[in-house]
Amino acid sequence: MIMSDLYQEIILEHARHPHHFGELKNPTHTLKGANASCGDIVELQLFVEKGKIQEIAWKGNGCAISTASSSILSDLIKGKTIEQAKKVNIADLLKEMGLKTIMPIREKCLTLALQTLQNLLYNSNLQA
Amino acid sequence: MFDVQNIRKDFPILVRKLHGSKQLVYLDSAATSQKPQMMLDAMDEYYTQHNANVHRGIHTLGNESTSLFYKSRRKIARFFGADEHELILVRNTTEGINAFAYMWGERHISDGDIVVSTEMEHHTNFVPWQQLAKQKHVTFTAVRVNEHGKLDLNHLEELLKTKKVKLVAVVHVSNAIGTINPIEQIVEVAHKYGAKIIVDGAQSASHMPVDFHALGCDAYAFSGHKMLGPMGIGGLLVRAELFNELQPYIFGGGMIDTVSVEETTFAELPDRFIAGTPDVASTVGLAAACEYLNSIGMKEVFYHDQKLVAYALEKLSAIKNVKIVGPLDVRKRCGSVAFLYNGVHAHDVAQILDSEGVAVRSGHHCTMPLHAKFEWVATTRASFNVYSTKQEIDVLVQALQKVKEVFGK
Repeated sequence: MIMSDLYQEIILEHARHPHHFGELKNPTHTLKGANASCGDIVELQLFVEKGKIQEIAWKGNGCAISTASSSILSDLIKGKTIEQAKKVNIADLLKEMGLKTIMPIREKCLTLALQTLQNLLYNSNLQA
Repeated sequence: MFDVQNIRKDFPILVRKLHGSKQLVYLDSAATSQKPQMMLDAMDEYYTQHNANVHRGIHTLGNESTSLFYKSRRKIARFFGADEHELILVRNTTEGINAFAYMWGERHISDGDIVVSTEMEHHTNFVPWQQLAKQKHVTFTAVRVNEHGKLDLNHLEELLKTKKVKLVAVVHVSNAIGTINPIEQIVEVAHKYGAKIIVDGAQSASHMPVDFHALGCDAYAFSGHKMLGPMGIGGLLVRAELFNELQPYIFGGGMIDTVSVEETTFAELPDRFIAGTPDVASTVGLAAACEYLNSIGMKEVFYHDQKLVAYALEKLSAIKNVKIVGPLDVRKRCGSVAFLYNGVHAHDVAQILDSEGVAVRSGHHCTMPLHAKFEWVATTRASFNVYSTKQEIDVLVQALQKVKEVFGK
């Protein structure tokens, strides 16, 4: 994979101006995730009402790939039901980011927010 | 006369081109060093000409293999200024330190003791002690490091004055910030208060002359693969005087004297601490690496490294968004130069550098306490060895330009 594929415009744009970056006033659910190999951290907050993710915000200090991925993920799940959000996977992320694949060494960067979201959705007895 | 271009010819991997046309610029030697052909040949020759199990065979190959093994072990010990029986062969630095924790720490650390490491320590000389302390319900603490990468020796002495410190675990050369710690000084003060010292020598072994007896520490661990040797072999040096305080950590064949159903007696030193079939080929390889380094001369190796570190410090600090971590004085550091890039994560820096053929490492370099203390999310590290050149540092600097182009920072 050549570098221009990885750092194409869509990723750089999301990395520069990430969507839904920040905190919610009254989140119903919060979870932190970390990428041990490099120290990247993400904190995800959801406001869930009537079984839908009404609001989402996240904070983090990661690389461009993890920032873009968190940003794109937040766009993907906002307004979705819990069940729909549970189904979002790596393939969806790669598609939105315009990538066919990600090299193994950067995979954890790509999936940090997704992994955190899945931990949150599957482990917190959220009602569908 | 140190001739780096000539030396480079000895390292076959250096001719590799990446991504089609980019010359490999390998600046990750602190992670693992590249290998000289003569070292590879020595291992090859072992397996094609002399391979047999050691100690037990009466036959010719068994004799040759055993003789090569002992000769190699002697060579390695001598490289470090140690006696042959002071060297316990292990897989790597990490295994060496863990072995010492079990062989010595288990028995000699108990109620009311303090175990001390440092804030700049690689996890290898930090976690085993922390975990042992936890298991023994004793205090574990870390000597402070200041923002210039200097170890706070006053803090160390303060801790030692309690007379409760049993062990000080300290790194010789930091893999993250390059700091060279004054081991002789630390040994003097630690011994004054009755504490033992174990030194992590992973980054010093290949960069400077190391004299185990002159250093005076009680134990010193190193990795073969970081000093032009193969992976899978390393050493734990333990002062002869301490051997009677050690218990074996691995049991089985080779480390015994007699075995019966009722009981087992153990072999003489140092065979008592190495069980099972050793990695003879890698031992031979490491001895060859020591020979190679000796042919250059470790003083020359050190001067070469200092020139590279000085050059890297000069060139990198001239780049606008780059902030170097660790001492800025070349005399206080060795082996590597790591930095923060303002506004761009270390991962992205490393990725872009790779696209230009430049190999560096990014992350926390197994020094999470250090990175957490100074709030460095991640750092990017360029590290050197005998085959590294100033031109390679120039390529690094040029490749960093690309980071600016992509991220606009």
